[in-house]
Amino acid sequence: MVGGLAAAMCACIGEKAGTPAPAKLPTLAVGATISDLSGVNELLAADIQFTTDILDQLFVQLLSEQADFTEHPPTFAPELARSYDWSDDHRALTFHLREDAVWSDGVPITAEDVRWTWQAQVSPAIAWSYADLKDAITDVEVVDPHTVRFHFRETYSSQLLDAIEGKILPKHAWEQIPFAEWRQRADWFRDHLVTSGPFRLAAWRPGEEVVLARNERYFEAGLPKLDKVIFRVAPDAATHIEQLLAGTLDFACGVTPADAARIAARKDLRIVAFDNRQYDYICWNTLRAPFDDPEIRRALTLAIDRQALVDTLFKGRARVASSPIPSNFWAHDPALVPLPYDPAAARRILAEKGFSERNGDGIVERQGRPFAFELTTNSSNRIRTAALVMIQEQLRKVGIAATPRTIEIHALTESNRAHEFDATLSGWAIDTTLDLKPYFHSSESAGGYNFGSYHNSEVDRLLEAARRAATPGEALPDLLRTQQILHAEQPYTFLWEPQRLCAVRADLTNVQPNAISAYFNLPEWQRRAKPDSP
Amino acid sequence: MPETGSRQRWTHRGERRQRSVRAGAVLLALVVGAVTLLPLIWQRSPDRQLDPAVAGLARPGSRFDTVRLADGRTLAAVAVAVEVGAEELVLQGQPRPTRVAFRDLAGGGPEAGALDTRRFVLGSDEFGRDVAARLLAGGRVSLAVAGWTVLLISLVALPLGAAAGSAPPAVDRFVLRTLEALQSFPRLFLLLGLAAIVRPGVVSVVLILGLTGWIPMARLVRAEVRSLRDREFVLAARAAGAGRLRIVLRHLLPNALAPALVEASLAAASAIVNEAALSFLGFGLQPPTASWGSMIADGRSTLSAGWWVAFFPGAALALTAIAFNLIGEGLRDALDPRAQTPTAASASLPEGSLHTPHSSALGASPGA
Amino acid sequence: MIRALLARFAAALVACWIVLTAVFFLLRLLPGEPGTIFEDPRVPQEQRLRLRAVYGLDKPLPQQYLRWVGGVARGEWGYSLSQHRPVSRILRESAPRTLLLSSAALLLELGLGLALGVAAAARAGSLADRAVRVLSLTLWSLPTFWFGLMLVAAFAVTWPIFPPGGMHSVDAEALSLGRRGLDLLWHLALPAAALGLPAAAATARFVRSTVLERLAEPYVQSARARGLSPGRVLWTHALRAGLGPIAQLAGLSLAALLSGTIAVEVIFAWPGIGRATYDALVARDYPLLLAGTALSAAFVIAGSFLAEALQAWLDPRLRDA
Repeated sequence: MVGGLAAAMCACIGEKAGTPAPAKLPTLAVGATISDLSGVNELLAADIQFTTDILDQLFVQLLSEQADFTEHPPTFAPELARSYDWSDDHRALTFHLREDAVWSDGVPITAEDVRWTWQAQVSPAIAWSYADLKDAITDVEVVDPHTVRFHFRETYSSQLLDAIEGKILPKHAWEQIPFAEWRQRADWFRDHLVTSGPFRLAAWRPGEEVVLARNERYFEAGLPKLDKVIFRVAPDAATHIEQLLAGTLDFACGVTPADAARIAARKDLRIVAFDNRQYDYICWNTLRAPFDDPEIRRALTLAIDRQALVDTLFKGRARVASSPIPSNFWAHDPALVPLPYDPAAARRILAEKGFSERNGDGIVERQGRPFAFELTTNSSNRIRTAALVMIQEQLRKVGIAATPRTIEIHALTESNRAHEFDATLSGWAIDTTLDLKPYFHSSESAGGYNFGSYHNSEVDRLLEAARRAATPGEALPDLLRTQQILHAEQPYTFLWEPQRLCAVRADLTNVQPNAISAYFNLPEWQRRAKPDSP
Repeated sequence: MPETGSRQRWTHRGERRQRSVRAGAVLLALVVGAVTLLPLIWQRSPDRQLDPAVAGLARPGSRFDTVRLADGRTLAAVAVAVEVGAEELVLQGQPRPTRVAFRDLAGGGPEAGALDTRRFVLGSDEFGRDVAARLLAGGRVSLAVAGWTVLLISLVALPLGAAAGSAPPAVDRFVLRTLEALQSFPRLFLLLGLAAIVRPGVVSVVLILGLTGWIPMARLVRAEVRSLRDREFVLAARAAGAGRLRIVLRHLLPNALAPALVEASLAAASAIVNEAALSFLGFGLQPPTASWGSMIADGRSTLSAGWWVAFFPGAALALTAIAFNLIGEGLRDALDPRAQTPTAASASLPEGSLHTPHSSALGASPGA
Repeated sequence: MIRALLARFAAALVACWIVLTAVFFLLRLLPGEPGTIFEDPRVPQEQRLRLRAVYGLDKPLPQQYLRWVGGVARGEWGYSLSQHRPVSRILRESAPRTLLLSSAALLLELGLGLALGVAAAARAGSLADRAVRVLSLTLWSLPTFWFGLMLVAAFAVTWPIFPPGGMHSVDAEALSLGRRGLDLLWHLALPAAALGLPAAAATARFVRSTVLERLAEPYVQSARARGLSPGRVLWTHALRAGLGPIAQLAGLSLAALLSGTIAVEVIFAWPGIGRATYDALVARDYPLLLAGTALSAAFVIAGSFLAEALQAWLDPRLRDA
């Protein structure tokens, strides 16, 4: 009986899906997300990619960073600010705001909003995660309703980036509750949401869907082109694929390389791939012998067939990495050549360092101790988990016994920060400031992210200098030198730079995801007039 | 009273129950035999990845020709051809044909044992690993977890149940209430909470399953001991001056062992399913250790591309659970036909409630 | 009878409290920091410490516990560290969805279980009986989560009759109320089947044996001797007397169903308590995790309390006593 009823129901729904509604459907796109929106107030929400992506659509910034980091230090396109200029001493930065920008409730966006946003960003009661970016800003001065001036304590390379960091928040709507109460009442903002971006939040059903609708008051005429974008929350990437194939989704990002092959074979779907400013690595704990020896680390890298890992695990949708600055960055050192896969050379180095195979178990020893260690990664990442097994097999061929071990992510981070590991496979996402200090500066060994406790005083000096450079371009020599040292000393074995893959329905055009956001140009996405029927 | 009809049915049932124990035992022996003995004659590494670009997610029964290279890699091909006169092999593969020169082969040429074939009886997973090999390896882990868990459960439940059953009524009632109350907690929530706290591994999974799973057996033993303590042979022993501990150990506990055995069998079924559930949700055994549960979890992400990766471990799991349940149910009826008769006079289900799926973690999975 | 029931109810509540307290303290032994907000290398250490202070995580554990207990006493379950809103608001949204799913499963379990169980008992020993027994043993032994996955593979991927997950179709709010109801049922079908069918198998087995036992009892035999038709005997006497234990089984199986909802909600992207709790566990969101666990335990306790009361009311011998 249940079956009969169900069959009757799907008949009617199937019919509905098969015949696109006349005017409505072409302007709607449905996507999928693994994580839900974590909040609508940027200062309180968790900084997870999807939340950032959505907030980018809901709120405008002064300028918007462009994804042109491959050629040169990133440039900025006007957004709320029409233009900006520097004072002669480079300590005052003046933004000229658009006069036609209004909040979604019709109130104009003014310099007061910009100043008040800064006050919120640096409020200790709110404790914004990135408040330290504003450390060098002494004041944000309202010159007139559409002119605002940032005053800096000092000059340094990322002044402009720091000034424009953060969405501009609606003072008139949100100043009703004092900063001290923000953290405890984060959901208040959801009920009093006033936005400024190309889309507004039409509905948010936590755990189910986030619905964006065209903001009719958005200052760019003719944008966005889609009336409505719906993000369906499904905690499992496998569900996304099932829904894409079933035709109920139009796009999903974070597709696995294996699924991408199948999707690319379909006529009604295509794959859009882009570089993701991200790399995975194995970090060697230099506090534990023999990983304290750069030559041994070099031998380990030589013994790992990274091209095979990329071919196998990513089906070619990744590149072998060689530097903490991914190879598509303007500041990547083009002179670096990834170490080859050369087990013979690895064996030679091991022998020079006193490791030899004596007892016939296939594992090399030194002073009676076999070269055996534990290689950890986070259990939720299937590709890394599979990589552990492959690396184990590759290292065995040169006589090194690696034991794969997967650990829950929080516990892994904790043991990494406490330096309680031999070697760990993990990854970093890099932003445009290219600040490598958190990962490789010796001072970051205690409580920071220098897991392997790597220490090189020249690198320390270079990283500090790069931070102080007046412009990103001036930091380039320091960054190049740093990369060369890291390449020579191999504190990490850099593994791969994966691409990010999005599956998109064929009739959805102008989809240009980039490393900043998969939905970077969402307002320009379009539905082709005659949609392929799903 | 029409005794005859009733008795006939009982006899009929008795035979059937014996049959069900036998069927369960045979099934279990098959599963255990397969996972322990098959690897002796059929050696294949569960972690070995065969050229996933070609052999990933191969259907059950697919066959590949494999080529070993001098650098240690293995390439897989749908077919291998040697071109006449040329010093190279042509591998027909999924993405495109590849060519391999003879000098790159292990041993220096195609005659030197560099060529082989490989059949995936139950298919391969997305990394080109043999599902059948993983099924066997995972089965050993899953069965070991179930075995150790039941042992732990018995070690906790037998003494505790016996002690409660032979204790003064006030104490006994208190213990019973506590056990009942603890049992009303949704077990998987508890399992997950505990699993998140400890470092995942076989030992911790056994501990978690054991320490949350002993209550039904303890209640059963308690009830059994309690019902026996006023029987003649016990009274006689007491009259003969036997000590309390002696009575429990010599007279009460041995009689409670048979029902405990029934419970143990059902607990084994429950343990094997719960281990899988934990691993499936990511809080049990961690990859690359294969267990049936973690294999199902692996298969989740490729469900729409290859159902076999998740199907076979689940089917093996279900078979094993069926075997344990058949044995448990059959034994129970053979031992005491009344054990499953909930008499309306008792305000609750038979203590130890063999029938309820109550303490099992996942829905109506094997009761315990 | 009522007093005994209440005593058990109270004991269950106390046990629930003890377990929650244990979970509260055990969770804090976990390595790593709570919530997702603490896990970004770009956030400096001093900022992390400030955040801990804002959420009261820097206080000594006993003090945090007292604060939590005080909050719970006022009906405040604290503030979710991953969803950044009050836990009570999250539960208010997800609890009805879980109740909907588990009641659908319960309905399936009881309806199918009773029907199959009685049918098998009425023809004990027949081919149909044997089929029911084999089928129910098999279904009963299936792991719920695997069964759910296979349902997806079969009925959402291979033959896409049902949606692979979610609660509503994309533009559900544009539909008429009736259509929306159908849409919901359409989405409910697979998860409810994954949860309810194995449970129905267990119930069918239990119902069958209960009814068979009742049929063998003297008063039923005498009713039969009085010339009542077999059907009447079955329905009025045997089944009626057996309803008590069956009702209790239904109450008890709520615990199993709720446990099952975790995996089923995760597989079918069903945004209920099970998934909220699971997400909280993954994100180390202690307040939400504790509340989700407590709420599901409360459902179970309430369920078994209701079931026992129902049993007392249904069973003539108990009522008279």
